[in-house]
Amino acid sequence: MENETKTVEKEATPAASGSKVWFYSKKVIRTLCFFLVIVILLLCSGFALKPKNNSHKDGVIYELSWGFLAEPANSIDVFFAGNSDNFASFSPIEMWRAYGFQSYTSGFGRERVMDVYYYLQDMLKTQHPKVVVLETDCIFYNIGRAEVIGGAVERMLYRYMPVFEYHDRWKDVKWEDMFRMPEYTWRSHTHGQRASAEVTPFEGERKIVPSDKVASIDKVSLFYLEAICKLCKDHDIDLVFAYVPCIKAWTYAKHNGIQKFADEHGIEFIDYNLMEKEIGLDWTNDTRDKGTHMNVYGAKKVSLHIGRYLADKYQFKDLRSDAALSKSWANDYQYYLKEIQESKNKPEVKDKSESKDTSGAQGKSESKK
Amino acid sequence: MEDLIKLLNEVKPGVDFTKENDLIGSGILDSLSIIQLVTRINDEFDVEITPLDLVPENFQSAETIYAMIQNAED
Amino acid sequence: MTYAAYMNFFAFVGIAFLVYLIVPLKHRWVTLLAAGVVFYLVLNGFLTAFLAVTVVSVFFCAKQLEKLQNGFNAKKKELSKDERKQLKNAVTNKKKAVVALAVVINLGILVFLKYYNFFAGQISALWQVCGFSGSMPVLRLLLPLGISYYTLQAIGYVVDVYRGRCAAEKNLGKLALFISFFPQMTEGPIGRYQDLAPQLTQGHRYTNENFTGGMTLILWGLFKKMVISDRASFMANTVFKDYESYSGTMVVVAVILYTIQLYTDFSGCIDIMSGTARLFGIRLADNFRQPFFAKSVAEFWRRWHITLGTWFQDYVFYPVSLSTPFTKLSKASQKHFNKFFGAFVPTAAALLIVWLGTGLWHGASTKYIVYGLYYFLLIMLGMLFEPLAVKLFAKTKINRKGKLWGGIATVRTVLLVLIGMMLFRAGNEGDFFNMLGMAVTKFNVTDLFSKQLFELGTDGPDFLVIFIGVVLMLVVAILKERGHDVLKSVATGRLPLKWAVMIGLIMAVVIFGAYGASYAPVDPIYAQF
Repeated sequence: MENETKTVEKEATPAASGSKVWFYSKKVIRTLCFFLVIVILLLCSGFALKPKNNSHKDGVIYELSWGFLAEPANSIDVFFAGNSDNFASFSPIEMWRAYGFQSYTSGFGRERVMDVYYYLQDMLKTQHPKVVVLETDCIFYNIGRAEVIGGAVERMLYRYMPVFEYHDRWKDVKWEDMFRMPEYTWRSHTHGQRASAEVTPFEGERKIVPSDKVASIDKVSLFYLEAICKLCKDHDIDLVFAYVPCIKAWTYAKHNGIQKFADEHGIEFIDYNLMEKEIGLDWTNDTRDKGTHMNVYGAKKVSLHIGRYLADKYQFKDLRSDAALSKSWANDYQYYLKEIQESKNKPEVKDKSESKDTSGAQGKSESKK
Repeated sequence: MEDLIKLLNEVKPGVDFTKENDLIGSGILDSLSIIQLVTRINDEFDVEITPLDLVPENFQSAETIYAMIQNAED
Repeated sequence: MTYAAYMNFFAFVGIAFLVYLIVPLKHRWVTLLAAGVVFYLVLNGFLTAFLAVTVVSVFFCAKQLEKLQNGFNAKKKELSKDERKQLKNAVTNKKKAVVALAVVINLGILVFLKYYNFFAGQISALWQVCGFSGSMPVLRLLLPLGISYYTLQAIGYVVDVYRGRCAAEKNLGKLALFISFFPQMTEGPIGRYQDLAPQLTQGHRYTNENFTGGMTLILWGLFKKMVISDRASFMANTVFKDYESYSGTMVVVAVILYTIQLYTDFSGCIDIMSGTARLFGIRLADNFRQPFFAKSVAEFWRRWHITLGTWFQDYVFYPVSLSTPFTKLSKASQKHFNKFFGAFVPTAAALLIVWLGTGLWHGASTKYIVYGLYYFLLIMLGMLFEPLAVKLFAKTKINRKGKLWGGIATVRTVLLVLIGMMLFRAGNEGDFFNMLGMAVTKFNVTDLFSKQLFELGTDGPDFLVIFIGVVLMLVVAILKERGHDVLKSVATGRLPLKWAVMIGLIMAVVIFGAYGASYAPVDPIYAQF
C-alpha cells in the first residue's frame, strides 16, 4: 500500500512547476471528458427510449396525467394538479356541462409537490390557463427527510434524463421509434379524470375535531411550493388550493398548515373536508374505497361546487355556444358515461394491480385502468 | 518425523507429505482434517496442541507441523 | 433498497470521502468513525445503544485480559517451573472468566434480541404438551442493524486478545471504529482485528488505483445486484409464494433463479461495500471465491460467505473439538471403534455444533436448523466415505484430479447446493420437502418451452439479460480461478479499457437495472440476518 502511494506521488510531482500545472489540468480535463461522455450517452439513450407518444400503449407510465399534451394550444382554462385525490375528484366533463369552461385534471397516484412543479412547466409550453388548482393532499405525502430529498432528485433526473424514468422500455422499444421526435396525439376523453362508479361506503360517522395544531411542511416540499407560486405568478396565473374530501389522509393539523402557507402567499384555500354539508356529501354513496377517494358521484358534487366558484370569480367565456367544441365535448361525454358503466360492471379491476406485486408494476396497472 | 508422515498419510492418504509445502493453500488440509490430525497427534505424541496453535502457518508442511509438536513438548 | 436509498448511500459516501481527504492524515480515522456513528444513528436511532454496549464491554474486557497477561509475564521469570505452571493456571482461569464475561454479554444481547421469541414459543409449546397452562410472553423486539455481524467481529477480537494473537486496543475510539466501520455494518464481511484495525486507523492518501479500483468494484456490485439479482427475484418470489400452483419444472427454474439471485445479491452488495472501503484505501476481507466451482460441499463453504465460515472455524470448531470433553470422547471412541473413528467422532460432534450455530445464525426458526443439519449431514457423509472413495479411485484407476471427474464433482456439488438453496428460501421445512418432491416427480422437460415460463414475473427479455449477465460473471470467475483478476487489471489498466468498462457498467446499470416505477425495491437479503 505504502509503495503504491509513493509511486503515484512521484508521478504527481514532476520537477518543473509548469508541467505540474499541465499535469493537473490534464487530469481535470480527462475527468470532465469522462463525465461528458456519460452524460451524452445518458441523454442519447434517454432520447431513444423516451415514449414517442403520450399514451400508455406507447410506454408512458401515467397516461391520464399526460393527456393534456394532445389538447389544442391555449385551450385549457383551468388546470388541476395533484395526486390520486385530484384525478378522482375533479371532473372537467361535469364542469364543462354546467359552466362551459375547459379544464384538465392531471395527476397520478402518490404524486408529490415536486412532480407537480415539473408537470406545470411542461403544461406551460402549450397552454396558458387562467387558474391552476392544486389539490393539497400531495403536500404532505412525503414520509421522512431522506425520501423527500431522494424524491426531488429522482424527479429532476426523470425530467432532464428521461432514461432514468423510461429505461425499462428497452424491452419493447421499436427500432424506428428510437430516432424520431415525439408527437403527442393521445387525448383523454375524461380530460384526466378517472371516472369510477364503484361504491364502497365509509362505515361510521366522520368526526372533525377542530385543533390548533399546525402540521409543518417539509423544507423540500416547501421549496417546490414556493417555486410553483413563483411559476404561476411569472405566467400571470392564479393559484388556488383545494383539499378534496378524504377521510384517511386529512387532519385538522394539515388543514392549518396549508391555511398558514396560503395566508402567507395570498392564495385562496378551499377545504372541502370542512364543507361536507355545503356540497351535500354522502359518505355512504360518494366514495369508492371507504373514504380515501371520491367516486364519480362525489366528484360531481365537488366539481360542481368548485366549478361554480371558478366560473363566478374568473368569468370565463361560456364556450358551449361554440358548435365544434360542443360536439367534441358531447363526444367525450359519451365516453365518460361508457367508462362509468364499465366500472359498474367490473369492479374487480382494482385487485389485479394488487396481486401482481411480484413485479411491483403497480404504477403500470394503475394507469391501465 | 517418520511417525508424523505416517500419521499424515493415515489422515489424508495419497499425498506425498515430504514434498508438499503449501498444505493449506492448496487445500490438502482443511479444518476437518486438521482437527482429525491434531486429535491424533495429541494422542500419539502425548502433547497438548491447543486452539492457539491452530494457525495456517503451523500447517503448511510436515516440517512446520513437526516444529509445532516439538514446541508443544516443552 | 429503493432507488432513493442507493442515491442517499452514495451521497453519504461522497461526503464522507471528501471530508476524509480534507482532514490531516493522522486524524483521518476519526472521519470514518464519525461517518459510522452518523450512519448507524440515522438508520437505527436509539438501537445504537446496543452497539455502544458491545464496544465498551469488549474494550474493557480486552484491556483486562492484557493486564492479566502482562502481570503474569512480569512475574514469570522470577519463579520456578512448578510455581510458574501454578500461576499460569491461575491467570488462565481468570482470563477465561473475563472472556466468558465478554462473550456472555455480547452473545447474550444477540441471542435475546434475535432468538427470544423463537425459543419462548418452543418452550411454551413444550410446557403445554406436558399439561401445564400458561406461556412465555411474546415480546416485540427490534433487531439493531448488522448485530449478527458486528457481534461476531467483537467476540473474535476479545478471543484473539485472549489467545495473544493481538494486543488490546488502547483507544476506545479506534476500537469503536473497528466494530462500526460503516461499509461493513449491513452485511459484513466479518473482519479480523489484526487485518482490519491497522488499515482503519492509519490515514490513507488518495491514490488513483484505490479510486478507480473502488469505483469499478462498486459498479460491478451494482451490476450484479440491480441488473441480475433483482430481475431474477421476480419469478423466484412468484413460485416460492405459491409453489403448489406450478409444475415441478417451474419449481426447478425458480430454485435456479433464486440461487442466482442470492449469490448476486450477497456478493454484489459485498462488492459495493468493499469498493466503498477501497475508496478510503481499506481492503475488506474476501467473502467469496467463485463458490460454484467447488468440488465438494465442504469446499463450497470455504468459498461462500468465507468470513462467517472461518469465524466459526477459529472460534467454535477448533476450541470445541480440542476441549477436554471432546478429547475424552475421542479416547473413548478410539477404544470402542478404531483410530479412524477416534478422530471422527469428536470432529463430527464439534461439527454438529458449528452447523447448528451456522443454521441458527441465519435466523430463529426450525427451517434454518434443518438447513444447518442438511450441510452437516452432507459433510459428514463426505468424511465417512472418503476412505472408501480413495480405495475405489485407486482400484478403478480413475484420475480423481482429472478434468472429467472434476466436472462431475462440480456438477454434483452445485446440485446439492441448489437443494440447500431451496430449503433456504422455502417458507418452512414442510414446504421444502413438498417442493423437493415436486421437483423430482413432476419435472417435465417440455414445460421449459411452455409460455408459462415467461409469465411468472420474469419475462423473456429478463431471462436474456440474466443469461448474459451470468455468462459475463462466469467468464470473470473462470479468469479469476486461473489467476487473472479482471477487475484489478481494469483498474490498473490503460485509459481506454478503464473508460470502456466503467462507462459500459454505468450504462448497463442505468438501462438494464431493475429499478423505478415498475419495480418493487428488493432489500439486500443478507442484511436481515
